[in-house]
Amino acid sequence: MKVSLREIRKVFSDGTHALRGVSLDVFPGEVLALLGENGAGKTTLMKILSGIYRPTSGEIYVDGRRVKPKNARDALKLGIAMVHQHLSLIPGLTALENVAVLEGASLSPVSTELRRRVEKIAEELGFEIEWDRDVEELPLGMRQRVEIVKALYWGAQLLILDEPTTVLSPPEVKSLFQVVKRLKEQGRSVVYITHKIPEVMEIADRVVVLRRGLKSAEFSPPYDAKRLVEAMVGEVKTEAVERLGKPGERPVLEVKDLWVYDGDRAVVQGVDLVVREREILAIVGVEGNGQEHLVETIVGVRKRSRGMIKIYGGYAYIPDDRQKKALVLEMSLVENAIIGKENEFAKRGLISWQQAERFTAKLIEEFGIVAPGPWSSARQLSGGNQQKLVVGRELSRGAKLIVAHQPTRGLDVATTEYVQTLLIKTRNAGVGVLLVTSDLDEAYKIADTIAVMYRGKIVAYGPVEEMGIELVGKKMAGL
Amino acid sequence: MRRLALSLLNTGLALFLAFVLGAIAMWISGYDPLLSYKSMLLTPLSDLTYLFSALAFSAPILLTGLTFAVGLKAGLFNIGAEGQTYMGALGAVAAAYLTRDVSALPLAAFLGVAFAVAWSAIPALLKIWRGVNEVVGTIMMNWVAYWLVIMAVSTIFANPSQPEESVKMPEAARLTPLVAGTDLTLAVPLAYLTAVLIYVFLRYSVWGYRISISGQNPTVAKAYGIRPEQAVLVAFGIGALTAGLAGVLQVVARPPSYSLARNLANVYGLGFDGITAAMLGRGHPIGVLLASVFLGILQEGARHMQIEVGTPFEFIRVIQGLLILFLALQMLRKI
Repeated sequence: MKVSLREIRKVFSDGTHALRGVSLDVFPGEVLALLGENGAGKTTLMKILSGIYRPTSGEIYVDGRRVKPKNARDALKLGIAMVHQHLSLIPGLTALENVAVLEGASLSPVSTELRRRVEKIAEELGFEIEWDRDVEELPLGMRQRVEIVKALYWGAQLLILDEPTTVLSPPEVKSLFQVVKRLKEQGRSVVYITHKIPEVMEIADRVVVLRRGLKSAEFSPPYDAKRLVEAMVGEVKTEAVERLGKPGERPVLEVKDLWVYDGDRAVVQGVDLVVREREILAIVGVEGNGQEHLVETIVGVRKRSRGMIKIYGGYAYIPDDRQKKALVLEMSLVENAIIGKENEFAKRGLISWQQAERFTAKLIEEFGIVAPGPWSSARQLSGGNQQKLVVGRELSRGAKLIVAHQPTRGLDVATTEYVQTLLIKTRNAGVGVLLVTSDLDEAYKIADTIAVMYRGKIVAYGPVEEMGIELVGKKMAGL
Repeated sequence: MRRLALSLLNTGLALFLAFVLGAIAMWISGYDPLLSYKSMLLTPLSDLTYLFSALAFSAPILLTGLTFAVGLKAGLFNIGAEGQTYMGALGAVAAAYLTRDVSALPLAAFLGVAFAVAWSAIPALLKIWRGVNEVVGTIMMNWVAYWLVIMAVSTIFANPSQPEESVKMPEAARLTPLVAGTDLTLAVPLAYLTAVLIYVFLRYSVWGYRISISGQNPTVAKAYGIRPEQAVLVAFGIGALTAGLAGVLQVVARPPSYSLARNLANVYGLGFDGITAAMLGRGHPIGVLLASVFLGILQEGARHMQIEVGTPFEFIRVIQGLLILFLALQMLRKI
């Protein structure tokens, strides 16, 4: 099956020009990587192809015939399916039921015929899936496989994988690549959406790079990583900042034998850690191994069940979800900028909004936040600028400890670089940083010390020089 | 600016629909809608006495409206103003019972507000400690207050010479009309000043800011050291202050009786009128002020409508009910 997109444009109702005229072909049996930064339009383009969005203008052809998929089911009938970054299985149903249920159709009892066909598809791909368990109980990697099987069961000839490795540990990534190769051998096409260059180099037959809603380049092997990056981000100008000096002796955070329960499940199980001055301690691990509970207990959002937490000299907190945990989107930048330090702007209990506005203007300038003005609402900012606002606010607290949870998630390359640089600079100035990340590149790039978290426990801990990637990868997977 | 325009448009639309459907109801029932509306909306503005009476109606509605508005800011659906108003009035009656000179006035204010605050503390604490939804808690307390106050007014605080009402405020402790022959007492400027103070509190005070943050996003509040439970407590407390004040004023500053009717007629329904005012005023204190003046005019106008055109007073309830319905629909859509 050959799929062609012609001059696709998409303008969202808030005025964002997500796509400005992109044309693209996908040939049978090829793995096409769609590379680009967050916000480049990759996902939007593929959501149009899979019927979730309608294009503002432009045409779609399947084997030369013009098509207009109205929803995901329409697209599936044409043989196009998308596996989303945030998987879209229905909790409460078993894996098999999830395969059986199709958008807009009612759930009928699962027949043995269906089970037989599903198991055959899984076997061909080398999957071992516990079909009768509630999907919520399955690990993320397995849920992804369920979605792939579901797409194939309903006859997908073109499979779109949106950032499929975000939720996977290194060994799971390897086996995903095997699956992609097998799909290709079966004559199906795969569109692989990513912003990770190493993945592209490993599996793509062809690479199309998007930048700001336009196709900026197209490559075929052999690839040159440097040229891929350039096509993705334009010219990057960043000053390289390195960690200076060894970590100090004095601790800024001590955690001893910390246990946190969620209901009656022990999510954090006896964690010990110390962050010292001038140290970046990275806690790495696949998401969902207790990191969130650990962080939120340290900053006091959750209650600990047992153990000790000591913070010396105050803390600043960069949460993993800026829209839900760090900002009040309906409120202005000024109101958001003073959260947690409102007392500093108050005299006799009354806040001086003038003073708060001056402070916000300073943040905007210092951290290069692109905003219509200090009184515009936080919602109006792009994701990257929202994060800069959060990071700016937190760094300006002057705390001795910074708790940074996935501080660069969803940011484009330039902003990621910027935030990481800021963290290193702050560290060099003597602050301790607790960095919790699932991005190993980030951990190796900026951390002094690495700890691996698996199922609520710290399973490996040591200076970055002693923590080889092989070892860390194994520990992350629980091996 | 655009948001303000949109919200005005929405409010206007709700008003328009409520009045159109109200007109249809009148027409079906055999009354002339145009004449009725003319009498309802214009007569109160035609004479200073009528206008002052409308303003007197607006004062308690404004105060209970502020209760609901402050609750909304904190993310609460605090409909406890009704019961807190009863308790405020009860406090005033207790003061009248205890002292028979001018000191009854400050005592009334103190007791009334104290009763109301204590009353609101129960649903607030139930919410904080046990997670009881504030709607359930406040409705419960409203009914407990209703029967409790009726009992008190019928027994210890009953007026021996006029059994249908409570003991009267001593004459020296009454807030009498500022303009003789009208209902306009100090209650009106006092209520308007309260609205301005609440505005300043919400807009400029540290606690007003904390209430807004925890109301909009308690997760964010918690992450940065603002405790949402404290915000809930403060919001409930401030709300009870204004609702209690409404109850006190309905006794000490409401000619001609200066007492609490045994069937609670002079406080009954104020809390719910306040919800209409708060929703119509979009939760902004100054908006609530304007809305309560408008509702005061309707209240006064309805009497004239009944006298001049013969359209029953109850149609005002129909229109207010429809208005709440349309405003609530808009609110639901936003959520």
